[in-house]
Amino acid sequence: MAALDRKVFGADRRHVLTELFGFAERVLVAEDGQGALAGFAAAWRNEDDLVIGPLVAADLAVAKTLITAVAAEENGSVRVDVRGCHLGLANWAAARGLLPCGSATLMVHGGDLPGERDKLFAPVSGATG
Amino acid sequence: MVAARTAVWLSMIVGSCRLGVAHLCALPILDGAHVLAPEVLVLDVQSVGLAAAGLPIRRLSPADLAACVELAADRGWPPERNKLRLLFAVGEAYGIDDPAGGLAATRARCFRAWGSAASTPSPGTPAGSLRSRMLPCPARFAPPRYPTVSQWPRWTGRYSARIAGTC
Repeated sequence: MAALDRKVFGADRRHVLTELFGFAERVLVAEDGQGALAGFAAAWRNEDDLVIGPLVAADLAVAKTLITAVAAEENGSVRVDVRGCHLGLANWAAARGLLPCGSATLMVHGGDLPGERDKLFAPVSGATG
Repeated sequence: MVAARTAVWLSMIVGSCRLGVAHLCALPILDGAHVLAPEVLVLDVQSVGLAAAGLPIRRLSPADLAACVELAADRGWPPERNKLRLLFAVGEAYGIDDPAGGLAATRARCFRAWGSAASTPSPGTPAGSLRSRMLPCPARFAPPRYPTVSQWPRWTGRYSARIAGTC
């Protein structure tokens, strides 16, 4: 997980990932057909929502699978901060009952973000990336 | 030293729109980069309060959680105790005590990302003071120069799909 996260996020977040195992209600990993790690997600409780994040996935299909695995067992409200560039995931979430309830503006100074950000589908939280 | 590249998150959630400076994170991305681009501070300096510059800043601990929650309530935000606990666990939280009791401002750093809350929103506030004094850059005044990359909407609600793994 740490290796995949570093590749996608562009920085070492091992201490955050470690904390998630005590903090989050669930941490899930997805494997591809060869048994390699294709993504992971955590679900943690914040007020009335079950927040799904971070959500790191090799592609949209893996992201959907991870969200589904978490949300399908949750009777209450779930929250996913879907980056605007992932319109396919946003539309998919909307078709399953989720509603847009606000947004943050991502601004970048000094060049592109490192890592492979197209595989970062949701942050841990808006405050932490 | 790798070149520091910085992403800035500017919250647009209800409440912080009204407050303007309520929630902001600067995130130098590259691992090992210790230098924040001066432009990060430039953005923060927009709301630096000289009147608040002398207020002492102290490191917060989980014992301050209740005061953080109280400050959030004062701002009209949800308490988000769990999120605060995570910030305390993986980051560093700082605050300014309100002479009248409680906290006047908070700020948390997490893998060099920043989030803040303040009891007063306008220029000349503790929040501005926190930002300007915690970012390791000399202060200077200039307009921010951050191009918007994308929106990051939040989606919430009851999830209606019940067939796991087939979407």
